[in-house]
Amino acid sequence: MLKNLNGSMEIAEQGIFMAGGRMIQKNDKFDHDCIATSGQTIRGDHAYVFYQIPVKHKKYPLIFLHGHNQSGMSTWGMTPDRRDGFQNIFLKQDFSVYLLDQPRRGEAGRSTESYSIIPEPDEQRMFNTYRLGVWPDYYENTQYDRREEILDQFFRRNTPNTAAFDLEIVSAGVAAAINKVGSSVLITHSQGGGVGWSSVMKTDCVKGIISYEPGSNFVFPMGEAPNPITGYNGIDVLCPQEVPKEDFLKLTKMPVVIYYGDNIPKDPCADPGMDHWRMRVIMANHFAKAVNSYGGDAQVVCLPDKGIFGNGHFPFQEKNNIEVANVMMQFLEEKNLAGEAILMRR
Amino acid sequence: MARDDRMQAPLEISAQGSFAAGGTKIKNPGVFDVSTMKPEGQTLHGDHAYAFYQIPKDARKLPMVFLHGNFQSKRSWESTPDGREGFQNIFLRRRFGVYLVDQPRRGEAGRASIPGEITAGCDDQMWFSIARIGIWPDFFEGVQFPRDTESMEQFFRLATPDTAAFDIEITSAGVAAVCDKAKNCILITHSKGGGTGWLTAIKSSSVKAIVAYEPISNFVFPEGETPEPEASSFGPIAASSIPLDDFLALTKVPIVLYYGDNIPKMPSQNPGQDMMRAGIIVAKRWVDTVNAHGGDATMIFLPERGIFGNTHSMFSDLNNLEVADLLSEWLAEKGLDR
Repeated sequence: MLKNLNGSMEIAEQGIFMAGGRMIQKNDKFDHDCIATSGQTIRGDHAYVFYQIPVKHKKYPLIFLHGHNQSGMSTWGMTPDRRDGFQNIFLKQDFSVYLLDQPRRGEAGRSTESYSIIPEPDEQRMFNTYRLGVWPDYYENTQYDRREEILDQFFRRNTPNTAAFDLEIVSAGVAAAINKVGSSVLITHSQGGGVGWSSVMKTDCVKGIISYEPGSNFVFPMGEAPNPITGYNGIDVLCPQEVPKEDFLKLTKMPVVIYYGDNIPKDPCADPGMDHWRMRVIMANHFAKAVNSYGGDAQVVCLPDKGIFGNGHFPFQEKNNIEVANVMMQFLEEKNLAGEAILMRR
Repeated sequence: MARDDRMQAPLEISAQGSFAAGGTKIKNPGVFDVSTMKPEGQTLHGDHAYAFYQIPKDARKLPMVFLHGNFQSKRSWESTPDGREGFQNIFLRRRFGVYLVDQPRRGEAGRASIPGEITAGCDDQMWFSIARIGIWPDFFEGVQFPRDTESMEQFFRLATPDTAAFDIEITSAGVAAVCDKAKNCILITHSKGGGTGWLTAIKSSSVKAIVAYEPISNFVFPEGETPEPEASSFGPIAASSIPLDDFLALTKVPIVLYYGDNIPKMPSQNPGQDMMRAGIIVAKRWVDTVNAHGGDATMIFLPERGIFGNTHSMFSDLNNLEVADLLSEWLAEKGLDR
């Protein structure tokens, strides 16, 4: 059970660093007398990490990765209605926490490639796809806070890519961050789920993976991927990714859990927000089965099956996020990932 | 200032979190169709500022709101490039609440209401020069910046672009909204954030003091008192005019401006150094104008206090505890640290 939820936090150390990334150099000589690009370099495409290490801390730090159009803080920090998010909740359980902004997002906005950002009014689509309800109505059992100013804060958490999303570049940055942290548990959300599988295949440090509502880039051994899954409307198509088998086998070396919230139907459904996630749950089950068929330990947990109802796409920041955190804590304990550190760091 | 013994003590944080402040909301014409989810009838929230805050146990009355400069973000105040504590931690240890801002269209506040063009230009060495670390590839003698490769790598990677065009009205409105949420506060700015800071203080009566590190641009003068642009090898440093009534807000709060080392007295062909030389000429004029209207503005040149080698980001320099001590002294003098 979770403890100390109303207490303060004793932080032994907190700070930031950038990890991974690329550098491009132009060959001419640098001329310091004028502002010219000749002979200069640009560094970019790194990940950004903000970390906090509590005084007494568990053996494995938790590394948190956001999803599409989000950042470390927007996803795992304070909730839109100003309660503790997973950052504070797990700090208070004595875990060190590392919040990542993936390359080309948030604090890691510097890229080596130019880009045009075209903002599109898309918040009603978000409302549906994130399963708050069917705009403008909330689902009756929603765990989102329905106050207008809270929805305003929720929408303002969006922050765009500052260069094109590139799975290889993003997962390389995330893997570099993981390597700097060392042995750890990786927690991902949504599009970060796919980035997570790719990152884990690039490092040996990940001891467990917890993935909330992964929605894309599920990986399978070459030649073993299931067919793409098509949505009710015939437009939404979810494709699996194939990777070399020896890379895939890395995902069989640690416990993996995938969580989905509520309001995801079993059968094709005209509500595109719901149907979108029906397809993802099917693919996630194929993925878990593939991992387990090679001796791995992967499971897909739909929160309603645990008696937890009304969650949308951000269960860790919705009204019942303590309950959701409890489920994650039980997983960490069951899989021996919540042990105490033998020695204090520093 | 007792410091070394306290650096190793844990930080006791009673609250921490983040929020968006200010910003605009656009509603696209038309009716939202749930089956196609096209942009018609949908909304977009953008142009807000972002703040991450931490409140230590037994916090002093006025928290500090930190605003970054051009191409930077809240990371300016977090760990230094060589991994030491920046002003965020240093002033948490001195029992100030801290609010680290990303201004609208930067960092975590990347969502803008207008399109943006990001050009990935090769300019690392330009930033080395503008930061006054040295003249690439040479370091200034005695510069308070670490010389190892990893620190330089971290320094360059602190840059992050605007996600849409910089607009000082939008930016200062967002930062003012953060200050209003922080309630009464001390606004601490860096470089281009200085100009944003003056407008922020005019928009928000929550700002009770302003501390500006190396402001050089967007100084605001009362109409009729604005000086001509000052030429430099970087380009002209221009000031702008505002109504006297607005300007007078800046005479109601104590203001201090800090400048580091290696700023030449005579025109220089190195643009990083010369922009500071020219900026300081405008800044002096500005300080005189604030004080002539009954204000309390002070300029402090670190070398005149016997502190040498500081760069454009003195709060991250090797001697940043000494730089922090100067600020603590000023805050005490003005009764802002109760």
